[in-house]
Amino acid sequence: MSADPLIVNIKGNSLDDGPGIRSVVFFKGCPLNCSWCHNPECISAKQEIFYDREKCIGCGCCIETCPEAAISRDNPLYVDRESCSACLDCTGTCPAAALTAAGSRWEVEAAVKTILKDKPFFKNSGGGATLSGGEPALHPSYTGSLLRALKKEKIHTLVETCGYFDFISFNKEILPHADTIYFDLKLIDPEAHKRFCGVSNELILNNLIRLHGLSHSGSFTLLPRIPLVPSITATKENLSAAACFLKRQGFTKASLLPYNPLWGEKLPCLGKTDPYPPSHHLRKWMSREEIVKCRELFTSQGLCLE
Amino acid sequence: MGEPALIAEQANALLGLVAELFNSDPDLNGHLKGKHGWINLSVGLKTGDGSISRGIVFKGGRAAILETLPDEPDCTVIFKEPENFLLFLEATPEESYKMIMKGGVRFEGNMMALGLWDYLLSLTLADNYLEAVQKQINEHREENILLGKDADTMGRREHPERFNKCLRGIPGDPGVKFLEDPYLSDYRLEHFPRLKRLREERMNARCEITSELGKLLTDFHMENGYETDKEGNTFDPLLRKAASVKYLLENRKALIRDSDLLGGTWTENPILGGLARPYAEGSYIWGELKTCTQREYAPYSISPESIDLFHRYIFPYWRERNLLEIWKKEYNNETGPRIHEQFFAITFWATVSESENNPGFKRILELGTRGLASLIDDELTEDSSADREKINTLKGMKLCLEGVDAYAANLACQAKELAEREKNSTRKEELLRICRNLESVPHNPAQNLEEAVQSILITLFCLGWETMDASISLGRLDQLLQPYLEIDLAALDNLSDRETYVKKAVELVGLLYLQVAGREIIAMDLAQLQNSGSAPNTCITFGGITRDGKDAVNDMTYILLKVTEMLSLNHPNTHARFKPGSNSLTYLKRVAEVNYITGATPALHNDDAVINSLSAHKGWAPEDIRDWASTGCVEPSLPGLHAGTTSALEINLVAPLEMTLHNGRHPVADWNLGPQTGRIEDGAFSTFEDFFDAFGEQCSFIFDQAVTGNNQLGEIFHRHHPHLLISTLTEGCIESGREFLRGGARYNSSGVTLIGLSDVVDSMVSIKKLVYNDRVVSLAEMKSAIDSNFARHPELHALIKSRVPRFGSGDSQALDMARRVMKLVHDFFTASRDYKGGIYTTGWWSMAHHVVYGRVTNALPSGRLAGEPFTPGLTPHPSASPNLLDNLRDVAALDHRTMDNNIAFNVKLVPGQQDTHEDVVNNITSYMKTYCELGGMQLQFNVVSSETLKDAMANPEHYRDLMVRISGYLAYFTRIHHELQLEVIRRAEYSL
Repeated sequence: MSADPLIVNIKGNSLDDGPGIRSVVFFKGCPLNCSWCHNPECISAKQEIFYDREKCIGCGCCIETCPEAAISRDNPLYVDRESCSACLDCTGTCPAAALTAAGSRWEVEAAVKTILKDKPFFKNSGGGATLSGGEPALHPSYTGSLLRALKKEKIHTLVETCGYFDFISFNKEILPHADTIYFDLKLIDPEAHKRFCGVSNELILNNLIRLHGLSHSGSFTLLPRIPLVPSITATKENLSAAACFLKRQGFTKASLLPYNPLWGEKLPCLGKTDPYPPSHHLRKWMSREEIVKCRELFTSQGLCLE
Repeated sequence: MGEPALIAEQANALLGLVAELFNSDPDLNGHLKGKHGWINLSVGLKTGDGSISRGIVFKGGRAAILETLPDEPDCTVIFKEPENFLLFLEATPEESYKMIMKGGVRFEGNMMALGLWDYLLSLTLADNYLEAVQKQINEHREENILLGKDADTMGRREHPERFNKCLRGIPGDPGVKFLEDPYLSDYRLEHFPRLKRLREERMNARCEITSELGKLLTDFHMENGYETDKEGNTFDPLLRKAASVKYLLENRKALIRDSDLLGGTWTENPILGGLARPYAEGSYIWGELKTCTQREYAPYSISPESIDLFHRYIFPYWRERNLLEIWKKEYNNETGPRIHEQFFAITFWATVSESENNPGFKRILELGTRGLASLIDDELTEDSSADREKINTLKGMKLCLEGVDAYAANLACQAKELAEREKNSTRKEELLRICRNLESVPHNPAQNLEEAVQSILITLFCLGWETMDASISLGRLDQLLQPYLEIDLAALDNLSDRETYVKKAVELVGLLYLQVAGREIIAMDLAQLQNSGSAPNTCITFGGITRDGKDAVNDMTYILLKVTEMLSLNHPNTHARFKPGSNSLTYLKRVAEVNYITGATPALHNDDAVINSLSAHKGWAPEDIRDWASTGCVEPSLPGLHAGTTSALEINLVAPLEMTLHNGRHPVADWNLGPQTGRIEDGAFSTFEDFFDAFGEQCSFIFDQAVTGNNQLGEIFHRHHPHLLISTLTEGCIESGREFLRGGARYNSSGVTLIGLSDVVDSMVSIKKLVYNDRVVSLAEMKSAIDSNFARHPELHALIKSRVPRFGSGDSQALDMARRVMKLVHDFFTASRDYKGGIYTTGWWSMAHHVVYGRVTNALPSGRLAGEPFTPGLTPHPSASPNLLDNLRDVAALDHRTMDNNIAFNVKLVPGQQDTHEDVVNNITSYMKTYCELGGMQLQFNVVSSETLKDAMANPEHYRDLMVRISGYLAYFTRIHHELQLEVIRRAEYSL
């Protein structure tokens, strides 16, 4: 993987990606391909055109500009991704910024400078910077430099990972500069994991176990997180298995992430069709009661939930 | 629509019908008979093109129509086009206001005469009005139901639940000497049945327009004269006003509310009333006496006796003696009043009230009226060279103090009488206590908390009756009351006695709040646009630092916070001062919690920033500045030291921008009023600096009008309604022998607020970037685009929205532009002098004017479309940035000196579903603390989601108590103007 990844966004004022007020760096590119991925623009490591229909005023400037003739009003998805070469000419001419590039290069220094603007808020809220994505661990060298630079500014660092990474480089480049690791655990059954996330979970579980071992040193905090996806991860079997697994490995704490169905809205912007109709259960929020039930499966095993 | 000639015939027929009815119907005819003789009136009706030119005259009890305009009409209604006449007849209230603001119809002459004409019309054409109102109500209702039909109903449950999850406080504030849990987390409103009952009564009450003040005042002047006294000599205004105040206070009804522990009421309606002073705000409602009970927003109640008194007795007397009329007549000022009456650029608040102040309640608590009177006596004896003005000023002050004593004495008698008749022994004891307290205060210094609160309340009422309509603030109530709390508690050794006492203290302060909440400002229907849902805004300020710079937070601070939370009222308007480095995190966290629970109050003020802004004023002592407190919406003034009249002028800052774009003409008001600074179509403004200079010139023109008009009105106020009672409570007035409005106070200033800052700044950045820097469009093309409301230039509109950085986005150019515009404004006003000899201070809050002025504004280079509201206060545009921190940082980076009349920065926050009560409080605390540390001056959170607001619009019955901050003031959401509701929803919303 290239040392210089693409960054989709550096989002300030996040209250959902770790303690306090945080700035979140969204990396582009992920080794997994989860069917419910909340940030579908972060899956591909390549630059893509992001088309926001709501902003489009239909002026047609982009159609005239596109050298590949990839844009057409007749195409319900507007941009033909097959012929689009991601030259980004259309993003320059679109007056409404309805066409934008998902992903751009950020020098470490520039990223740090942007994050530093929010530092006064970190201090009062116990917040900091979170690297998310996508998968920051795909780019150990860049991620390591970024983390190092943030630590130099005394900013709390948190890395969110899907767990599918090369442990040696993670341990060498990333871990020394990360205060906290949020480690996503999706499905315990290897087959199900392969089916819904595109890869086997063997590496992920091994990495989690190894990280857990290292976390006893106290140099970083490790928190396993289970995203709740109705009928996929948020099943009694999977959650019980996850709770058992964590318990067996000696974890005392975990976190459950309530399902957010809004990811479907982003798919057409990336030239994909939403596989689910609006009435589908994956297009609905989970009820409070459902969440409470999921939590009970964990707490009944004696695990604390954040 | 018909031909002009046909319309003229219709006008004729209408006037003929009205005249006929008044001549033939004895009941109607009876309305022409006043207590001072026949009520005469001549009205002209004309159109701009001269196609209609008619008159109607009521004289000696007969009505007659004229084929021409009357020779000297009392008032004239001028329709721009003949069609406007027909439209006006059928218009809903809102349509007619739009027509007024756009110059479709305007008025000349005496406004009270116009009110009289409206009143006479309402007697004959009331059905038309009611039909139009009903139509408007139905339209809004339908829209609301549509808007809220799919809205989340969670707020119905979630908002009340917030009250049940109070955090416990950690003791440790040095000034908190008694409270174990400073947050008083165990108390709920349910534990205070008296407060709960009075609150319910208040929340369900409709405000009554009371006539008591108007009647007594008219009685007084009928008996004693106005221009001349009984002997026919010129009536000295100081003594005239003082004697009338004394008369009012001696003769007003002395009422004790059922179950209250504090004697007295604002008005003769013990729960909720308005005073309707006939020379000021009351003078505007003559035309609405019959219809004000039916209007859509804030309908009043009024008794038939009051209507009769106002129409036949009170208003005829004040027809030529009201402030607006005196202004027009005595100063021959045509431009100022016309700008005021067309509602597009300046609101001269002094046409109804000399505006907001902070009297020195400390003086009444420590000296009593007795001590104040002896100060005056000493001054009279010691200053042998005192001039007539000084002697009369001091004599007048004494008369006013006698009035205060008389009112308290009457209340004491009343309490005693009630006690004698009372069967219930507990209540009897309470009434006797009220009597004892009132026999002591405010005549004497207060000895304990109960006396102190009673003394403040009586003084507040008397000040209200003296003259003020707008807010009379209570200053730093925690600093005022803490000494008395300490005296009382020092006498109690036992822990449970102390606990009982603290609960009593909470109740007592709660009763004070509920008494303050017993009044509204009487306002004509049109004013619903300007300050819909606003209370008279008596402010209470707490926290911050003491005069010597120490942490001022004390037990009473937390008691006030508890009462603010439990009662959750839109009035009094509460303000928390926070001094970074001095005030504790415990205190700030409690402020954040109360803000969250109530959804909207208190507002947060950063002591560093406010003190910094006031320190730029020459000659203002640091220890006095540290004593600042809010008044009105948010404005700082120095209690008992300062004649601040802080909301004298509300100015539309976008008006000079539009006038710059139109060579001095205001395009919507359709009036060539400003200097000709250049026609864009002819290639004017070759550089951005030229354009900005022209804007400066148009600003100077508007600001000049504002200052000139306000100084004239201030002078009128002094000559007709000098403020002698508040003068006794303000240092400097006794010594100088000059009253409050005459520069007698130690510090003087007048406050201005500018509306539409973000809209102006974003427009300037847009012009600078697209026209002059990037040269994407010419200025003429830009103007043509906004003239067409961007209809023919959608690409330019899109480009502006996507490429031009806004104030609040974190962009340094936009921030610099904001600082530059603010400096331009502040430089002008700080160099101007008011009628008291003070400077003008500049503020950036908007009441509801951002909606009103938005209506009369075309599309702007910022991309804002015609008629859309501006952003409130100096809040950045909702699309400035998706990151709240960008907003907070930009606002915090503004220059304090240019904001010496404070700001209103509104942010809407929505708690996440997974967040605990403490999570939400912690997050709000973090925002508040960091914003203050970065230098931000003021911040107010509405903690409510748009979903809940939409649900509330469709289902108001579930949200009676839902409170929001509009700009600086608080209102109950379901009772505010429809357009204002939509504006609150439209604001940026940030999730927690």
